Amino acid sequence: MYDAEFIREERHSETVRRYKDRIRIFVILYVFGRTLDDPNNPQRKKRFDTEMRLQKIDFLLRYPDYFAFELLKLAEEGKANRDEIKKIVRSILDEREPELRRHEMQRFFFGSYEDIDDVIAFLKSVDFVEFSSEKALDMKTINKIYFVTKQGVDRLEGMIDTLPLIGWYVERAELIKRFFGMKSAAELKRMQYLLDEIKSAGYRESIAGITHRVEQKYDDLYGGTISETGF
Amino acid sequence: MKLDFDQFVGEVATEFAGRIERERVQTLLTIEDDYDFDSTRASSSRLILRSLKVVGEKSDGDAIEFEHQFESGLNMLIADNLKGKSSVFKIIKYALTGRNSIKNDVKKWLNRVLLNFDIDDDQYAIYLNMEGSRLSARLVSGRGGSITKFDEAAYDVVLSANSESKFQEGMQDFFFEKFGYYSLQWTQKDSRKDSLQLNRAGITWPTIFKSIYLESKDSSSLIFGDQGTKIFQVLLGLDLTFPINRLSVKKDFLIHELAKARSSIAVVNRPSAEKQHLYDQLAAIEEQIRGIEHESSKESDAVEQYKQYDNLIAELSVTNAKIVASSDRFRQLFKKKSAIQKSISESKEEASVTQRESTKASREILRLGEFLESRRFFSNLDIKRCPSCDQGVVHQRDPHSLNNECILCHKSVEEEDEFDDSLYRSKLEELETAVSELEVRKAELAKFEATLNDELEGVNKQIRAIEAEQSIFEDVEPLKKQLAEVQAKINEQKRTAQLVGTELEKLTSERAVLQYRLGQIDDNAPDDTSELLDIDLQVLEFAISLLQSKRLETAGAILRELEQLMLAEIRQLGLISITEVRIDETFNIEYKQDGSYISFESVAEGEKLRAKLALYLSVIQLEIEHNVGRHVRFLIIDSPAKEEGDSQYLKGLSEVLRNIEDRLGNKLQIVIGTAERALAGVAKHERAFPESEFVF
Repeated sequence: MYDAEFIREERHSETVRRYKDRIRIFVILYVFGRTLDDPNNPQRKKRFDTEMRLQKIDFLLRYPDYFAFELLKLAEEGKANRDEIKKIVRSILDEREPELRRHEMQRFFFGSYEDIDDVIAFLKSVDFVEFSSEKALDMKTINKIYFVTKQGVDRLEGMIDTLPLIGWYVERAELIKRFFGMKSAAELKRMQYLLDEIKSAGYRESIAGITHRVEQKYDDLYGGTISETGF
Repeated sequence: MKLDFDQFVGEVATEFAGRIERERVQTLLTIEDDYDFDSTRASSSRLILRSLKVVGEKSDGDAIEFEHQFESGLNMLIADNLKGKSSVFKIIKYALTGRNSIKNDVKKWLNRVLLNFDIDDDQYAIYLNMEGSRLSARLVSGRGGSITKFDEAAYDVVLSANSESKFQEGMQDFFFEKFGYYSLQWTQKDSRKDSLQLNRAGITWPTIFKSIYLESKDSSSLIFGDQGTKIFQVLLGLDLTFPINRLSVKKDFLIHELAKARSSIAVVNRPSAEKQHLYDQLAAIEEQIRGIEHESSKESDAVEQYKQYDNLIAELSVTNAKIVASSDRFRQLFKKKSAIQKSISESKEEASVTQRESTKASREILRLGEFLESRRFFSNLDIKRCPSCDQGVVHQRDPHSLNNECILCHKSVEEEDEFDDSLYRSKLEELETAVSELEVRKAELAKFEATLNDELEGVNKQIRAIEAEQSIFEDVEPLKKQLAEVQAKINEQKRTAQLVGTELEKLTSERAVLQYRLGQIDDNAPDDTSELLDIDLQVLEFAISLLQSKRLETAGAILRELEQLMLAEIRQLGLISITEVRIDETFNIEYKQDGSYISFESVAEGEKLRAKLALYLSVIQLEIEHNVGRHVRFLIIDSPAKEEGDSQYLKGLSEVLRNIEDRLGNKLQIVIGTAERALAGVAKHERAFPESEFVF
């Protein structure tokens, strides 16, 4: 009886995971996609380049603590408004996002990676996304290019107001875009790889959270205000 | 085993022939009961719980109606942490011993408890009424029915108590008689500071109950609690245990007497004796002064000196009384302080578990909520394009097809529709209620902790105040100094008075003789006594070791069997690094690990619980399979999987429990409470409470 229950639970959590992957990846393509107006392909509304970039952005979306850490680094280097960063990071910690919203990811050869072929195949089958491959300039690497279709854009824009929890993903993606949207996949990768927590995770092991480092850095930058709020 | 007392006395007397009379040996070895006391007591019985009913009302108005039937063999109660498992066990303990360890807030909720149990073939019921400020408890013979109505006339009342202490006393008498327990004794120093008394203390029923109830947090304390080896001996019930214990107590008193006699010279110098000494001297001086006054009236200021001396003595005794009083208060405050600190740490622990549970539930709320929204987002979509060949798909959803059919491959998709939205919504609601309850609890705990901290601060303040007062200790010194000065003056006057007449000279020499004699008595007395006591002591020590070796002769085989049982079980529970278990003649248990013997306290933290479980289970098995010992054959084990959760251990534990159930299920009863759902299915009689549900 215990085993049957267990298998049912496992299968069920697999389903939950699948749905969440689909919506998250789709939100990234939608938010980060460059708007298109191609008379030859009028159904293609947005274009997003390379799978690697998609993976790295996904990582920031899944680990609020890493996102906060990168923001603090920007503030530290004077590349962003200190007060604004303070407010964002404060809210991430206050809402206990690292604890409640972290969606763990495994380390692949060069940082975070998760197979998203199934997700893309699904999005393609319902005609939300089109997809093509191009040889890169070095003629070795294959770059994957994703197009969000009119059908996909319409669905998201039509329903988003009624889906508050998915709305959170859209808002967070927009925030990531605002601070890191200009960075290339290679830059995002480098940024990630500097962190010991990612380096030290074994191949195919989950990447650990870094909430304590975020709190530490926040303290260093803004003084001991963390403890006042109970963290 | 029959021990011939006369022969035994003879054996000991021969050993000390010429040094002590046989009669004296007989007196020394006589105890208040027979040496065969152990073998004449009732044979072992069995305690089995039948049912527990609890009614009450929670602080939020929810009614408590808990009822549970217990069966012979393994009974498993599975529920999440902090949901009331331990409270159920503590209620059972309260009903059986009268000793309350139920959490204060939970205890306030309870109105009535009815516990039905059997001892062998006799049925008993305990009724507790906790509605009033005082406990009202009845132990009756027969089966208790209604919990709300107790018809005293319908039962044969064995015990009727209207206070907790009366109830405790009665239950102790009842169980001691039923299971042939008696109180092994030990000696302890009187807790009063200045007292040189030695007191006698005995094992109580609540202490023995520690061998029945393995609480979730006491696995790191001594085996069976503080009086471990004593309880162990009671449980094993080996022959000659009683005389060995009584002679040991006698020996302790003797050692104490001896120490007192030898230190009596030193005692004279202690503050209390010093006073006495001063008074004596004073009496003599007074005598002399009176004599001097007779002889000469110009010594009038001697009276003044005497008065001053008297005042100083009075002042000293007032100060001394103050010191005693403030030490008492100091002790009380420290006791209070450690009680508060204990509550604080308990509350902190609960708060951290509450926090964890709340986080877990909040995560689940987000996870399910996001899932529901995603599923809505992707619902009612047609397959437009083949993900493999990239061509448009013309085939549309067949309006006649079933709902739970994949839109691409048309196979039925059970797993997704097995859970419809409404199911999730109710699950979400449940989780949200749980989170808000947990948050309320968290806030309560924080408030409680704050109150405790305030209390602690208050106590600390009082302690600091007393510490400041400790300066009165320093007041004593100048007083003593003054006293010495006055004394010197008086002596000086005496010397002057000597010149006054020969009468005084005579007095002084008489006093010297007196003092010399006093000194003589003090010096000589202890020597005579201590020599006598010394031989007595040797006799007792010899007799005890003789009895111990006699006991080992007959009980050795039993102890070896117990060692084997414990070793097998410990290893089955996963502690394969332990290769031997050894019980010595004073009943200390040692474990051989990596070639050396270690005590229970030195067993690694994460392994103590297993060592303890092995001991509990082995004692019972020994009793059932070899008919030795006096354990009630009933165990409560609270959270055996907590904090030792390696999978090897869980598997071993399941095996050990299953094995015991199969072999001995109808001869013993074990009630286990656990939050570890992997233990489900191990026991035949199991009651699992759904996740996050309260036991009551």
